[in-house]
Amino acid sequence: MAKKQSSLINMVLTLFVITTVAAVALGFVYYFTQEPISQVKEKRLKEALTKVLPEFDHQEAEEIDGTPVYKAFDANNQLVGTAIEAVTDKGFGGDVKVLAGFDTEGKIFGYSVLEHKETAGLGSKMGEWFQEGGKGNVIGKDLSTEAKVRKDGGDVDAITAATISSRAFCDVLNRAYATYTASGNTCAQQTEAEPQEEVKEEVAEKVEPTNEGGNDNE
Amino acid sequence: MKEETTMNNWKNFTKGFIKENPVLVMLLGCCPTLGTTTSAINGLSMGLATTFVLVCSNIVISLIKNLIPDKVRIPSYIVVIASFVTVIDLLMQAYLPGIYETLGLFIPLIVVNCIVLGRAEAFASKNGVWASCVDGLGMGLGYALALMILGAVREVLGSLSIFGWQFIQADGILVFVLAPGAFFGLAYFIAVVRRFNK
Repeated sequence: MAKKQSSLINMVLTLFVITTVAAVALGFVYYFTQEPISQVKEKRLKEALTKVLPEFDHQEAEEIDGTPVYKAFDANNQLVGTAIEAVTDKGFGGDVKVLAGFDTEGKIFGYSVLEHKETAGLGSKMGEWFQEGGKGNVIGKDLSTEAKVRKDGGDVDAITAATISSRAFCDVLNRAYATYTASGNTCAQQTEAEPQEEVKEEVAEKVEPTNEGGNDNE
Repeated sequence: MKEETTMNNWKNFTKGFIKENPVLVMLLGCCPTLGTTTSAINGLSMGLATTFVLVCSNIVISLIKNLIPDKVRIPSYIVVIASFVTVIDLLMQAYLPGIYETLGLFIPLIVVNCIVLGRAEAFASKNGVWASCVDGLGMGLGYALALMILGAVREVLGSLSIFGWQFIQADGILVFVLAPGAFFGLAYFIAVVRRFNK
């Protein structure tokens, strides 16, 4: 029962053995949970995609400037919608990650909040608030005019007592839309092309559909 | 002698609930207490995750207590605790993704939860395996219970629901979901328990 002496060699040895055993054990657990974890993630993504897009048959994933873009096709290989996984760091509690689905006309078909750290009971309502039937419904909105909360002169109703979270949500939608336009969606002429990702200043001009969709989207 | 041990074990188990409740009496582990108790289910899951870590670390530490030189015992305990926390972190990610999403941020913080290291230092390093296991279980469940009740109170007052079931379709008293509500709730909770613990 005698305790080990606190001699240098004892201490070094003990710590070495303990950390080694811990590292090996963790390696094992990591190895065995890796697969289920990635499965869970995949399943979530699939669920989210079916939620934010019109019915689709298969999807293609690509990446534009590091932003994942999922294009959904029906059985005849017709594009039915595009989902974009956009992130903003303007949230109240940190990053807000949203999967935004656009139909072929560039209108929001649906969205799903994938990740957020907003205040529970306030900003965390963004998962329902902006859905169809919610108080700040954005479904069907055309984002060629930037989404903004009413306080900033836009027409999106912010979540009560969570303006910053709502701003972040608008921001994430705008980012998603910028990527959507950059993804060069191939459909129909009525799509207004946004020339660039930076849509800060000349919003008012771009709203006018004067630019015949002839802009090269890059 | 035998009867005494059973008695002791029972005492070790029950003391965590009221008499030496980690949150309400010893005021340990208040950070996750305040942070995660926005709803009953969150509080309960956090409590159970902590219980798992507490039981495992108590067992392991009571087993290796004689092999560890005194001067490096704290780092050794922390390594053991941190490993178990990482294990539960990965397991929750894999098998309880829903709960992981709400608690994710707080799971790694179990490492620095004073209860876990406190029990290792105060109990497991001086007692046998079985007693330490019982102690960890009692303390952990006492912690989980306190968190669940606090979470339930905050959920009822703050969002008018209990265990996710909304009983009135309206907004509750918002402050109870926010950080100040955690302090209010915890303060009253402690006051009540102290009143009856005398």
